This record gives sequence, structure tokens and C-alpha cells, in this order.
Amino acid sequence: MEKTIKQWLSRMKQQLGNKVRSMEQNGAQETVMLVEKTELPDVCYFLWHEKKGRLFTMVGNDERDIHGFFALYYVFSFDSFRHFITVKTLIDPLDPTFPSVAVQLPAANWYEREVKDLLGLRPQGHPDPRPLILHGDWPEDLHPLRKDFPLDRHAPRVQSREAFMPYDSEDVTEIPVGPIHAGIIEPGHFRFGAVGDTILHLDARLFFTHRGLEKASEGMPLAKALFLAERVCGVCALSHSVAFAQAVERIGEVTIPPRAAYLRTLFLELERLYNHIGDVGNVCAGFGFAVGISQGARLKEIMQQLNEHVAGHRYLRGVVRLGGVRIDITEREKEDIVRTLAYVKKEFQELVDLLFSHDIAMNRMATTGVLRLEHANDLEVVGVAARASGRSVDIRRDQPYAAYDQVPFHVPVYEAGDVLARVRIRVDEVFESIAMIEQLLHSLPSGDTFTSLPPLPPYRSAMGWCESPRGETVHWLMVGPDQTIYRYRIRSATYSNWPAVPLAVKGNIVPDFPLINKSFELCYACCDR
Amino acid sequence: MFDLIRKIWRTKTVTKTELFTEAPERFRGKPIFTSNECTGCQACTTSCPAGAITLQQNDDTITVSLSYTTCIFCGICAEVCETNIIEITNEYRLATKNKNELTVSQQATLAKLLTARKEV
Ligand code: SF4
Ligand code: SF4
Repeated sequence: MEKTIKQWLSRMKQQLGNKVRSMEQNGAQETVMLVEKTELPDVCYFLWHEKKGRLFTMVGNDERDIHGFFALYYVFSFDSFRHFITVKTLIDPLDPTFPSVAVQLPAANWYEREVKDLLGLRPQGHPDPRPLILHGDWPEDLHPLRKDFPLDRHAPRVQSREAFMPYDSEDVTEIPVGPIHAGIIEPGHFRFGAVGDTILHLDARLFFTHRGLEKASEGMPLAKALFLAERVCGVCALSHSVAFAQAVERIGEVTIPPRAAYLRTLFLELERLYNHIGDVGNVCAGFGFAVGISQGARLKEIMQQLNEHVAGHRYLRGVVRLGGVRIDITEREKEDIVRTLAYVKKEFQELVDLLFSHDIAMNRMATTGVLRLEHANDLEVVGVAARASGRSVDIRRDQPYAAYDQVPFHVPVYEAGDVLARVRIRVDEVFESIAMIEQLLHSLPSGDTFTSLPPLPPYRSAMGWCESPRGETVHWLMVGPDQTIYRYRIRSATYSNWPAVPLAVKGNIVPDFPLINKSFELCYACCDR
Repeated sequence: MFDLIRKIWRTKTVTKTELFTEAPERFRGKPIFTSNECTGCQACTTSCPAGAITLQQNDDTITVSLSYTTCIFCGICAEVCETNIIEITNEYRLATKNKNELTVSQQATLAKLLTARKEV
């Protein structure tokens, strides 16, 4: 395998010729290609289109203190080689522009708009000039992720530059919904253009919960930043903390002890379980199927009480430590997990049988909110939404971490791309996760639960990733001097999937929007950060 | 239809059948001070991610205080305390009418500290 990767990389270097200035390894799994910014679109398109790399994440970084330039990193994942290629380019502060990659590679759309808002690097030729992370009333020339922007600076509000799709025809009704909603959910503004009750177009305005976490983390000691990572999102708390810890461990080049890897995997699957079970119940709220909602909520509660019992926290916070885990489980707790799961499995099966044999429920779910495979591929959709549209990506299998290479598991994939397919994926994954947990408990190795970290060299970067219940989450981290954070970029699964929602709702009726939205079950907090 | 009714009948009212008594043993609730043997080592204040613990040194006393208004119940302080005087309980009921009750303090006298140091 080693040899084939080398051959593959050198062949790629030949094909790209003098477009690549230099190529170097960053850890065992990542190769960094330095290119001139003018070559950026060509090289990225080549890696994406010809070589079939997935755009994994994209990071902009203010590295003027280090070498006088801004830097952009486009990371592509090559799952079959279990390798990443990062295309890096340096940008002169005197000319803070770069040719947009998003023109050819739609998945880069949000990333580039984000870099423009937060760092003031302008993607030239980008199809959408609107602000993304910072809303239109934020001054256009203030860029909070630049190192010279002080943390406590108060930005004045200006005349809003927000713009939505204009409609010429009188037949199109504009329906604005949110950011404050009827239920207790997070804020997002949805503006439908509807003809009758059919949705023609949807503008989704997010980033109301942008808290500047990435800025806040800069200069923070790594041990404390772990608590910040845990609080990026409420329901994927563990996935985020694992991803962060992995990034740190990769920079320090430490391998966590086997028992710690197994325990992380175990808790990650418990996180998936309570989420998926709750989500299947929640989808029922999309068509008022009260029995399903209540049963889903009841089973989710049982799972969360199990979490509380074994990990001390209903949302599994405080499980991870840098270099391993903080929580160990005893024989008695193993039995408690097995007993609870056996009960939940039986009850969940009953819930699923009720749901899938209910004609009205099936009617509402089938063929509703179809996300087509081409769209899913173009936007690099991840997680449940991807697998329901026939796009087989699961980072647990594709780039294994923790103990996922030790337990066999099946990754369900459906083709239909509708609400029903997304529910079916969750149902299948619930049973997969239960089977995995049984295996993990059976083969749990003994030994230490953590190892200590060496001091990390400054200005090294690495990534940590994790398949959260919503899909793959990537944390890109560069450490600074004295074990602090220099740059921390959190790309959650929802960040990749939100752009797909407006495509899936087109042509559906307005009352089906809540159902479609619930079937994606995207959260706002980790997308907005 | 009958399956639905049967299911509802069998589940009954959850809040009546599955009563909540107290939080599990491992649940991380209020941290408390169990004695006044604080050495003023500051391990807790520096590692508390929320900055909930403060240390005050007067002439011959040291006062360590912990505020539940900022604590995130992570349990790090109990892990790092060298004299093990911080303990995480499973008490989750925090509501109070008096804000001052949300801060707990422990005083240690410096004389005691000196003897404690000598023994070590
Ligand atoms: S439990 Fe955590 S947040 Fe609370 S005082 Fe202790 S260290 Fe600080
Ligand atoms: S409470 Fe414990 S950790 Fe904190 S200063 Fe006193 S001895 Fe040190």
C-alpha cells in the first residue's frame, strides 16, 4: 500500500507538472502541495474531477506573523488510498484576492464566502457575492479572524446588505419564516418563493448563532480548548471532542491505548444511538404521528439515562481527554449497557414496525424531499443524507479512527434520496450500532485509558475527523507557541449538508418543509459556530 | 390502528411508571469542599476551564471559593486537587432564592499550611 501511494503521488506530480511548486508530507496520511494562487482552480478541479478526491474541508489562515502571508488550504480526501492531499497557496496581504474555485467546484461555495467574510480574502469570479457568516449589517471591511482584530472589539452596525432572490412574477408568493420559530428550535431564516403551495425556490439564511468560537479559541491552552470543542454542538458533543483530540494527538504523533480507542468507539456509538432513535421519533412530528413522537422520545430518554449512568452526562460530555478517555467502565456497567440495549432494540423494532406499516406516514415520507445523487456529489454532502441518496461515504469505514478498524460493520446505502430513505438509513444504523456495541463490549481490551502527550511543536497543523450522527465532522488545527491554539477550523457535517436542503425542497409543498428539514436533522449551532 | 392502541396501552404513562428518584452515582453534579486542608497549590484554579474557582490569600488565611454560576460540572478540579478536598457529588438541584448560596468557600489557615508543608 505504501508503495502504491508513493507511485500514485509521483504520477500526480508528473501530471500536474510545474503547476505544483513543492510537495511534502505532513504526517503519515497527508500530502501538502504548494501552488501559486493562479493555479489554484486548475489543481483543485483536477484533484476533484479527474482524481475523484472529495473536498474534505477548506481553511483560511492568517499566517502573517509567521511568514508574512495569508494561507488557504483546500483539503481533498482520497478514500481508497486513505490519504489526504492539501492544496496550499499563499496570498500576499497587499493583494488579498484569489481566483475562485467554486465556479467549477460547487462544494467550495460556502468555504470561499466564509474566507471572504472572516479574513477579507476575496474569491474573484465567485458566483455569489453575498455575505455568509457575518450578516449584512456587519461592516464590510472588518474581518474578525485576522490576527490584528482584537477579541474584545465592538463592531458598529451598518445599513444591511442582505439580499434574497427577487421574483418578477406576481404569481410567486414570498413566505418569510423565522429566525424565531414556533417550536423551541434554533434560529434560521427561510424565505420561500411559492407558486400556490408548491415551493419554487428557498433561500435559507443561517449563521444567526455565530459565536466566533474559532476566534475565541485562538491562544487558548489545548486542555481548555477541549471543553470548547465539546460545546460546539449540543447533540454531537462527543464527536466534536473526539475530532479535536485526534487532531491534537496527530500533531503530537501519539497513539492512544487500545482500551481508550475502544471506549471512544463505544461512546461514539452510544451518541449515534440516542440521536438516531430520537430523530426517527422526531420525523413523526412532521406529519403529526403522535405515537411515533412519544415512543421515540421515550426511547431516547432511556438512552440518555444510560449515558448519564455510564459516562456521568446525558450528552456524553467529559468523556474524552487529550490522549485517551476520562471515563472507564466496569463489568457491572457493561451488563447494564447490554440489558438496556436489548430492551431498546425490542421496543425500537416495534416503533419501526408501527411507522412503516402506517399508510399515511409512508405516503408522506415516500418521494418527499428528494435529494438527487448528482446534487449530493456536487455539494459533497455527507452522513445520513448522502447515504440515503446513494452516495456511499462513511468516514468510520473510509478513514478509520479510534477502534473502527477492529469491528466489522455494514454501511447501509439507499438510492431513493427521499425522506423515507433517510429514515431507513437511521433505522438500519440503529441496529448496526447496537450490534457494534455488543462486539466492542465483548472484545474490550484491558490496559490504560490514556497516555500523556509530549509538548507539541509550534505551527504544525493536523486534522481530526469523526462520523458524528449527522455525518463527517472535521477539525483542522494549527498549534501556536506554548501549547496553545493558533488556528482552529471546525467543519461540521451540517456545514456540508445545509446547502443541499434548498435543493431537496424544490417542487415540494410548503407544509412538507418541516418534514424534509427534520429528515435531514441538521443543527445550526455547529454550522454557525 | 389496533397495534397503535395496544402499544399505547402497554406503555402506559411513562411519568407515572418510570419515576425519577435521584441522579446516578457517576452523574457530575455540585462539586463541594470536604475539608479545609487546602494547600493553596492553585492546581484547581489554573485547570478549571470555566474559571469558577478563585483563591484569595490574606495575612494568614487562604480562602478558596467555587461558584456554581460559572461551573460547568466537568470534574477536573476534583481530579487535580493534591489533597483531594474537592469532591463531585451527584446533587443536581441548584435552584435557590439567594444568589450567595451559589458560592461555596473553604478557609485554611496559613499556620496549618506551614505545618502541613513540613510534614511532607
Ligand atoms: S467542576 Fe469543572 S468547572 Fe466546576 S469548578 Fe470544578 S473544574 Fe471548574
Ligand atoms: S483546593 Fe486543592 S487544588 Fe485547589 S488550591 Fe486547594 S489544594 Fe490546591
